[in-house]
Formats: sequence, C-alpha cells, structure tokens
Amino acid sequence: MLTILRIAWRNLWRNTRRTLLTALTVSLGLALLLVSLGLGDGAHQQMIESAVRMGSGHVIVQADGYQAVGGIERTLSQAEVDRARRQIKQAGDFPVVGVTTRIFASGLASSADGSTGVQIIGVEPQGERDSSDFPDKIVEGQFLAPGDESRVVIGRGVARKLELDVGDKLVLMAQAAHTSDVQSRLVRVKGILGTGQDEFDQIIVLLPLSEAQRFFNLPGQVHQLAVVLESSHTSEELAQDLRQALTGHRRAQSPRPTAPQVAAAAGPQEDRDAEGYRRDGVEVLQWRQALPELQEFIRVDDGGNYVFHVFLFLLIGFMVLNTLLMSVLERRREFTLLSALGLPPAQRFAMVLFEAALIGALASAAGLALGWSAHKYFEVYGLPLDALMDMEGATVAGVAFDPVMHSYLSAERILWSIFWIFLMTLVLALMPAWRAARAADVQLLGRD
Amino acid sequence: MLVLKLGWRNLWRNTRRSLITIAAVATAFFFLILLVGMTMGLKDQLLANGTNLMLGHVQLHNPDYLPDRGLYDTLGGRQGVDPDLSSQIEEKFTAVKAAAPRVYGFALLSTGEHSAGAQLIGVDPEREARVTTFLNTLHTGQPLAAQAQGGILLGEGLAEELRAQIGGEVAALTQAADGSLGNALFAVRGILRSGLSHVDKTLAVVHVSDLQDLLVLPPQRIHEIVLSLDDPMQADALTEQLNADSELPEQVEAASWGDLSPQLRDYLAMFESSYGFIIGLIAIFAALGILNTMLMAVFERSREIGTVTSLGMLPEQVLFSILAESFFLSLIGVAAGLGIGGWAMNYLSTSGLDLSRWMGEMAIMSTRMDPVIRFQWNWEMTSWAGLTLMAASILAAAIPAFRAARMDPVKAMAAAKGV
Repeated sequence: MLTILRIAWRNLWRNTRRTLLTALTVSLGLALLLVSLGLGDGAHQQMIESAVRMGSGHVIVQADGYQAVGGIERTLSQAEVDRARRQIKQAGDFPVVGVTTRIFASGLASSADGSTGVQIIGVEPQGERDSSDFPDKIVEGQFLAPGDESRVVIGRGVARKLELDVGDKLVLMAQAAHTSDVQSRLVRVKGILGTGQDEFDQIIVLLPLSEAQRFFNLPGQVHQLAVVLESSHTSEELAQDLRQALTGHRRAQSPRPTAPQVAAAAGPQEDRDAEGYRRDGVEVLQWRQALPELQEFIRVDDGGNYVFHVFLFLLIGFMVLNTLLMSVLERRREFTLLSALGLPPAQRFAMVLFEAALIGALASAAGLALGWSAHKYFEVYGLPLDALMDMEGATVAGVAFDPVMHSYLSAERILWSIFWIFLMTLVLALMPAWRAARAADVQLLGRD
Repeated sequence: MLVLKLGWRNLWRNTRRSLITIAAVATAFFFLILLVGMTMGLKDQLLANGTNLMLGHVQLHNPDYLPDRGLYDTLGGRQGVDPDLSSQIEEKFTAVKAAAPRVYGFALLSTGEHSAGAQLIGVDPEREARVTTFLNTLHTGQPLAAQAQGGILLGEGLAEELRAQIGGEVAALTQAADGSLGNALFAVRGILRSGLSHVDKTLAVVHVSDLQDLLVLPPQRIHEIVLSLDDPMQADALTEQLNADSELPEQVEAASWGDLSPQLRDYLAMFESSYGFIIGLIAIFAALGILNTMLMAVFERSREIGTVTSLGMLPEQVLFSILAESFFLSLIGVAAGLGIGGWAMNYLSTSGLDLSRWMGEMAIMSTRMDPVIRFQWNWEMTSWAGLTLMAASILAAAIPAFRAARMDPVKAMAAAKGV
C-alpha cells in the first residue's frame, strides 16, 4: 500500500498542470465556503453584539420571573447583586468587558410642549461606559457621569416630541414600588441619545441609578444585572456557571413557564408569589433568552443560510467531480497500461483514491490559507456593502444596519468545512477510481 | 461556415468528454439559478415580514402628521376627507390591492387597579384585514366586530400589564380634539400576539368610529390611509403617481414603505448586496471550474490539433473551430441548466421550500416569519451568471487552442504521446 501511496504522489507531479487545476477547484471551493460562512455568521454576530450593548447583556441576572412577567417590585436585592458580582469575579477566565445594573420602569415625561409615554432606565454611568453603546451614541450634549443629580439622557424621538434641547427641563412621572402614589421629579436634559432605532429613541429616558432607586422607592435594589463579554461565544458557559452558583440549576428554565407549571414544580407555596415565581429566587439568562426575538430571527435566517450553503456545497461538489472525471478520462490509456503490466484493479482503485486524498489535503491547506486570509481581511477591514451597491443615505446605525459587514468564523465552522470538503473529494473520487479499476480496454493501447 | 460545422462535429466525436463539460456548465448554471432565486425569495419574504403586519406598502398622511402623530394633523386638514376615500383610491389606482383608514390616539388604559399607556389604533376591521395582518394575530378571544360596538383588542403584553381579561372592561382616558378629557369604557374582546414585543406591549385596537367618538373627531377626520399593493416594489412609483394626482384632496401626502421605514429599505439593500457579492464570487468560482474542465479537455487534444495542422488546416481555422465547439458546448450547457433550473424554480416558487422540515416548528413566529421560502426569478442576475459561464468556457478553450494552433505540428503531436 505504501508503494501505491508513493506512486500516487509521483503521479500527481507527473502532470503538474492537471494536479494544480484540480487542486485549484477544491481549494477555491473551500475558500469560497469559508468566506460565505464568515460573512453570514459575521452579520449575525454584529446584530448580537449591538443588541446586547443596547440596554441588555450577554448574560443577565434578574429576579425569578422578571423576564416573563416583569413588575417593578420584582427586584434583585443589594445582597443578590453583590453575590452575583463576586461570582463573576471568581468565574475567572471569561473575558468580561463590563458588569452593570439597571432599573426599568415606564412613566410619563412632560415638558411645556406636551407629554409622552417613556421607558425609564436607571443606569450606572460608569457601568454603561464599559458595557453599552449608549455613551457612544450621544448625538448632542453628554452622557451621564458619576455623581450627576437630576440629569437625564433622552432619546432623540423624545426630544423631538417634547421639543427639548440639552439643558432644558422636563418632568418625569411614574408610579413607584410599594405604593399607589404617582411620583414626579424635575430633571434636566444632559444629553440626547440617537441609537438609530426609532422605536427605541422615541421612548427612552436614562436616569442615574441612585436617583432612580430613590424615585421608584427601591433602595439598593435593581431589576437587572448585565454582563457584557468580549464576544458572545462564551456567554452560554458563563450563564451556566452563574446559574449553578446562584440557583443551583445548570440549565435555564423555559423562557416563559406558565404559572401552573411553575407552581406544580414548586415546593412550599408560601415562597411563591401570585404568578408562581420564587420570591427570593433569581434567574440567569443568556442573550438568547434575554432577546428572544433576535434569537428567533437568527434561527430563521440561519435556516436560509443553511440551505444556501447546501446549494453552494453541491455546486462545489459538481465542479470537483467534473474536474476529477475529466482527469481520469484523460488517463484511460495509462490505466489500461498499468493493468497490462499486472497492477490489480484494487490497487488501481486505491491509487486514484490516494491521489484524490493527497489533492484533497493539499487543496485543503491552500484553501484554508486563502479562505482564512480573506476572512481576516473582511474581519479587520470589513466588506463595504455601501460601496458595492447604490445605498445612498444609508446612515442608519444601530442593530443590523452597519453597512460594513465583518466576517466571523468559529474554529468549529472551519473544521467542519475542511472535513466536508475533504470528505467530498474522497467520495467524489470513488467513481473515477472505479473507472480506473475497470479500465482495461486493449484497444486503447493499440491506438497510439 | 466550415469552422462552425467542424466545431459541431468535434463536439460529438468524443461524446463522453463533451457531456462532462456540458454537465459542468449545466450544473453550475443550475445552482446559480437556485442561489439567485433563493436570495430573491428571502428578500421578498423579509419585505413581506416588514410590511404586512402593520406598515403596509404606501401610507397617506397629512404632511405634518409624521413623525409626531399630532392629534389635529388629520388627512385633508381641518375639513377632513371623504370617509369613502379609501374605496375611491382602491377603484382609481389599479396597482392598489386594498386600502384602509386609521385613526391614532395615545391613551391611558386602566382596569381599576392597573393602568398603562397605550397606542390606540382605530381601524375599519373589514378593510384593515385586507391590507395588513395584525388583526389576524388574535391569540384568544373574538375579532373586532365590523360595526362599532365598543370592543377593544389588546396586545398580549399590554393585557398582562393591565391584568385585563377577555369580557372585562378597560377605561381609556385621553386628551380629545376639543380640549376636553375624553374617556370611554371598552369591552375586551380579544388578545393579540404579533410576536413583536414592542408592538404587543403598546397596541390597543378599537373600531375607527369608537376612537373618533373618544377623541371627539368627526367621521371625515382620519389620520392615515394605509394601502397594500400586489407588487411592493411598485410602492415608490405609486407614491409619485398619488402625489402628482390633482384629484386627491389638499394636505394629503403619500409615502412608500421605504420612506416610512428607511431601516427596512437599507436592510434589504444590504441583504441584496451582500448576497450579490457572494453570488458574484460563486459565479467566478463556477467559471473557474468550467475553465478547468475545458482546459483539460483541450490540452488533451494537442495531438489531434497537431494532426489537423500538419494536414494543412490554418492556425486561425483551428482556433475558430475550437472556439465554435466550446461555444456550442457552453450554449447547450446553459440551455440545459436553464431547463432543469426552470423546472426546479417552477416548483420552488409555487410550493416553496419548507424550512420547518429542518428547523422544527416556529409557532411563536408564524405570523412574522414564514418558514417557507418562495424562490423568485431575477432575470438580470440570472443572465449575468449565464453569460459569465459562457464567457469562461469560451475563454478556457481559447487559451490551449491558441497555443496548440501556433505550435509546431510535430511538437504538438509529440506532446500528447508521453502518457
């Protein structure tokens, strides 16, 4: 067999042109697959990263049931927040970029020019700087700073509706926790936020956390602790670690358990609130559960990409098959000669397969090098889609609308691609190899 | 003429070789057709997802109405418009599939203990159902009655916040057009679940007349007419046509989905250009694959070319006969690819490709994300792909043919001998 392998290797270089052409098809196919996968995943990665930096996190900790039913009184206590922070520090290896806490509430904002319903988020000014894009998306004025009192950042849409500029005053009204009274507070606009998502910019008001805690009568409490990582692929592990440490479970409960289910699974009833959630429990969610719509969108889009790549893979396969068939066809006389010299069919079969395997290996290396460089280029410099196509005025920022696409490739994707392309080359070589094993046409020898 | 005939005959002298090359062109073209068709189908689907729920394809407003949605900025200003304007537009513009009036108001809804702000939309249920789908996302309860009966549909999130039950009542409190504080009681008929949380948290739907009563607006004052078209891509053209139409009342301005939602337009443009880029790369790859097959096929024939040259055929004749051969080859290949591709597309564009087979059910998203991709033809991209493939095969034949034709016949004949 080793002899056959050596012959196969020498065969490759007996006709360098043919070998290189075949290897070129395989390696370009692999490179193409990697670029296409990288750009597809990159678009999703970009969406995830910008969504978690818009008031969410790769991993979030909340009071049990907050995601499903909300409620201003469903909070994390100071002790729970401290415990979670300690756990994140101890978890060690995760590339944590920032940890921040938030309060969410709805209310009404009024100026002399009218009033509008708003979503108030109490934020830690420093924490948001580490872990969200809010500070970078200020279009006028400045973001909140530690120690700010009675200052808010409002969305561009809120500013337009209430005709507010930086420095103007507005009144926030909202219902606080544990009381039915409506509270109101006079605040001043410090900055105007333009995320590019109109639905968001039309309702958002950011208030310093300490002030929000006083305003909503939630001393020391928060609704959410958000962890932002360098990238999303370790979020599942961190979520599991935290969940284990904070709740004793390793897996998340289903995102929206119905009250009876929860109640049925429950222990003593007195620990449960009206909706059946544990009063002093916490829930640890990763972005998939925290942003279910994005998760669903990506899932459906992945389905489309999957079919696209199956077609692409089949196309590559046919191109490789054609090249292989053509090269074996060209060599029918040679195989007949080998057969006449006494090389048994099994060995001719093995010889062609070895050739294909060697070409597959060479081409995988070349394709990987080529695909990886293209991926690196698109990762760093991006693919400027606005330059490719007429997209005049595509100034919208925010989720998913960055006109420069960046590639993202996981090691898993690369290994799978190489595996499949290599396997495909071998499988496709079976038919030509069988041909070679069978080819014993004496007439071919006589022709020359 | 002679070279054409020679080319054609050469094609069938070695049927197996020709068939492999034809198969290469045909399969490459077939997959390119499918990839283009799928991309276009996904784009249409994204557009439908973005517009069918609530946006519609074209909306008519008072020029001052957006973005603030002021209560007084009704269509046609203070005089308002004919309440039948929707049906008049439907009749007059053939591109319009359906039209429906809407009135908007922001109100505080309350069930006694719980209250929440909501965006009230007054609709004509029969007309609205022909234009958009959000009324069909009824999760529980009954749809809105065709006549104004004081019923209300609540978004799921909103209903949860209000702890509202079907059959229960909610009070709506709002600032009315006459400056008074309008209030009314509505009976909760159903709960809507659109799948979009920001919609479900703020949406409350009532009959247009009920909302006009609450806001103290006469029947001729409405905020919006929303249109759906058979072909969403015609929205910009129709918008221009509407805005140029002199019979429409004053203070009525049309805007297309692209103007109303630039994000959606940009996203689709991004989608198309990113896939266009990938498909361009794939076309180049397929062309290279064909180039390979063709190069091999012609290099293999150096000996034969040497023979015909030594028999007295001129180098240009050799060159042109091979070019003619590869032209026929690629033409047959492209035609075959188009044939199978057309057959597959015919099936995939009517029945569609059901993704849920691989991905399981997507129940929550059924209203927003159709798991069936319906492929769409795009002749421009398809023709480009076909031409690229043909150019590649002819070019691929030209290189070795040119070399062989100029070669010393003796050398050319010797070149193929060493096996």
